[in-house]
Amino acid sequence: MGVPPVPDNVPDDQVALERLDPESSFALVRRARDGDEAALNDLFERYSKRLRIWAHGRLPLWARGPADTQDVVQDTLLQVVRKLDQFEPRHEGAFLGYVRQTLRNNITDRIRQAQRRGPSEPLASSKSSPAPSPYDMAEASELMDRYESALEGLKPDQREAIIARIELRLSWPEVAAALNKPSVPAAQMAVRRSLVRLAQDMSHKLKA
Amino acid sequence: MNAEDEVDPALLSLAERIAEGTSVDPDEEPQLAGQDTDREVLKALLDIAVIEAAHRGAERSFDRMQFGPLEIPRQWAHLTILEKIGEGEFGEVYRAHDGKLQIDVALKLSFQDAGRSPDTSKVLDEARLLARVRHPNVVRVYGADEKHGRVGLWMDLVPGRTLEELTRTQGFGANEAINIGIELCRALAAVHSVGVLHGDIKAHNVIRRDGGQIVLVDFGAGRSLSTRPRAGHDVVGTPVYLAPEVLNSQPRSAASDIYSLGVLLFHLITNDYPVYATSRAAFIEAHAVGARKRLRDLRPDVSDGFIQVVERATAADPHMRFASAGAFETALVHLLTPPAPPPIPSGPNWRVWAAGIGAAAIVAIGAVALWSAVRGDPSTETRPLQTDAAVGIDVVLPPSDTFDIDAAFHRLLGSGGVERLGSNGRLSVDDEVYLSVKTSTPTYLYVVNEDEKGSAYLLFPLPGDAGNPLPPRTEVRVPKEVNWKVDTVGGKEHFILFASTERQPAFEDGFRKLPAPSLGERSPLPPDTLEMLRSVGRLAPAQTHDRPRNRYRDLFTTPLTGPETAARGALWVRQPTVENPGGRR
Repeated sequence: MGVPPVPDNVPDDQVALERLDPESSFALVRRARDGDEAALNDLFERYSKRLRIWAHGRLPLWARGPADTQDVVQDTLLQVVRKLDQFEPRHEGAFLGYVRQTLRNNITDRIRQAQRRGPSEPLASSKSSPAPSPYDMAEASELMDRYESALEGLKPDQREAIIARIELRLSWPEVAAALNKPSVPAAQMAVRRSLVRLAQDMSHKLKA
Repeated sequence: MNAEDEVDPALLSLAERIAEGTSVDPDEEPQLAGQDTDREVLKALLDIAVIEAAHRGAERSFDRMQFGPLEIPRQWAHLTILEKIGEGEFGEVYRAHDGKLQIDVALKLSFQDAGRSPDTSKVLDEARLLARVRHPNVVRVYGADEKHGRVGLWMDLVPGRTLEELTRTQGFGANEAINIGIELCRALAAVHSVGVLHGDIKAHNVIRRDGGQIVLVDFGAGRSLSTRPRAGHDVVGTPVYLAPEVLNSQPRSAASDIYSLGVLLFHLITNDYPVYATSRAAFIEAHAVGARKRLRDLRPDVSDGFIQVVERATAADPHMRFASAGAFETALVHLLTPPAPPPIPSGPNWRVWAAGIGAAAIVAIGAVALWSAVRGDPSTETRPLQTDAAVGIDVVLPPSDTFDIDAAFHRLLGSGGVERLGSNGRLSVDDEVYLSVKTSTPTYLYVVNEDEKGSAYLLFPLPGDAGNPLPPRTEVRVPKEVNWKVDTVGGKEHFILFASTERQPAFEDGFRKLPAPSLGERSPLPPDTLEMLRSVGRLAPAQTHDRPRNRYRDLFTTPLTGPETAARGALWVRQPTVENPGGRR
């Protein structure tokens, strides 16, 4: 599958999309894989902060410092880029899902390592947390298992939609670019439908 | 359009709000959905909303870590901000000076992005209702407003420690828990009386003020400010205080607040919870199969009465719980009073009612006596409740939290005089009686008579009576212009008297179903109203249906004992019994 063309009839209300970057994430990934450093930088810039926030929420409180999230995200992106040629055949259209999975694995590894060392003050820190983070929820809840499992079962483009908007909290123009949708409304509809699909799968898993 | 395109619009609409990061109310969504909406999918979407909110919270937390705390504003509305004293997912709490009131207040201020929430007007409306509540056990809310894109709620600063801290550090005895429960029932009754549900009763949200007073804080209004996962989801994996029906996405109600309060009492003396699981689904399952810890197993030393009260408050079926905070309070207060006398043996069957005699309308009944007089005795202001001597705990009611009631039954004497009937009074056929009531505040009174067959009748208020509320500070005659006339013979006459400073809509709804009652005629209460009244009382046995006889007198066994000071907002229930042995005087 080639890179879908960016439509040239972008409506006026989609100026933000155009200004952000008309280039889809697919195109960036392809160029980065082919050794284009500018594309790699763009990719880092586009997702680094979002992935750091994601990592921040997924790390236990005692490992959420700025350096922790920066390291794990940087490592992850480099790792992904190194493996891009393996990625494309199986995961085309699921770049974010692939990055997320890699990041998740890396975070899990780091938590394990830290636990072997012994966290400095995990109990005291976790008590001061005012509300559950995704990490806290994953620790405590079968809900996250159900969510992860249903997410895993979605079609790649549906999974991508959930990750882009719900987990990484990309803006709508960014979501449109990530999902390769021609407009913000198209991206919005894709996310809504993916959410309903995910909920349907989660409810089936609950019944099962 | 293929089949996949045909997605339920209600689900798509909820998905849209989740995708926009708008706060989603798990209480309201099920009501917004269409009849055909798949409830399981709806629940799963609400679960996803929780996950979305957690990611949103992580973003805020990340920003704060990166950029440090937000700049503290110096002024918000008319309040001068002095210092930050707390922070949660909903926003920040400041100590602020209210120049108008000339006091320092706690200002709870939402984050800037709370403007995304459609709840703002709801929060403001609810806060304004709460601002009407003046109750020593409820944190005083002074006002709410939206300024500079932030929603704020300012209220009393309450110095003290939360019950959660105290439970962890020192624990509570059963009698302490009862006293705390009584104060919290009063707080709840006050909040419910303005039409607001608390929605988040838990040990973290109750402060024991320095000095000992119990104060309920953090109302729905405050919580609605939150952009964190909403109630029902707010402690994912441990919704220990949530009533099972709320977990099942039913709307909250007074009964769900009562459930939470029951769990709180359980927690205070056990540092544990009746139902515990690690996920919302597991909680629902645990409730469904009745997998719960029993208080008796955890605390074999506490009284049967306390266990029964807590079990009833935390009944899985909301209809089996206390029907109001007042009813809950009554049951708790009973635990601090001496044991009720043993059940009265059944008297002979007697015909209860005869029609009015002459012009004076009449209800055949026994007599009763209610509260007796407040005699201006200053000690009634802080009169200790009757206490269990073995326990020796005095509950001193704050003056502003109580009202005085002075009531008695009177029998007309042939000589033209009147005899006040005491607890050992006697009646005979043809005796005429009335009730006198004098209270310190407008009071709603309801009088029911039960016969030996278990049938019950409404005596007051009936159409044509002066009706409720009774005016304060004057002796009111009930019924106003006629007497109740005894025309039957039986062992005893049982009356059940309910009084409250608050109107009891549940009663009045039941009474409205009566078949055209009129002054001077008794009106038999239909079965559903009877059930409602029983549940308002206390400790209705679970299997009452197969033994319809004499249920009231088994349920309401507290006699009248003389002048009393009653708690505002609570429902005061008494059952006076008078001998009616038969034979003309």
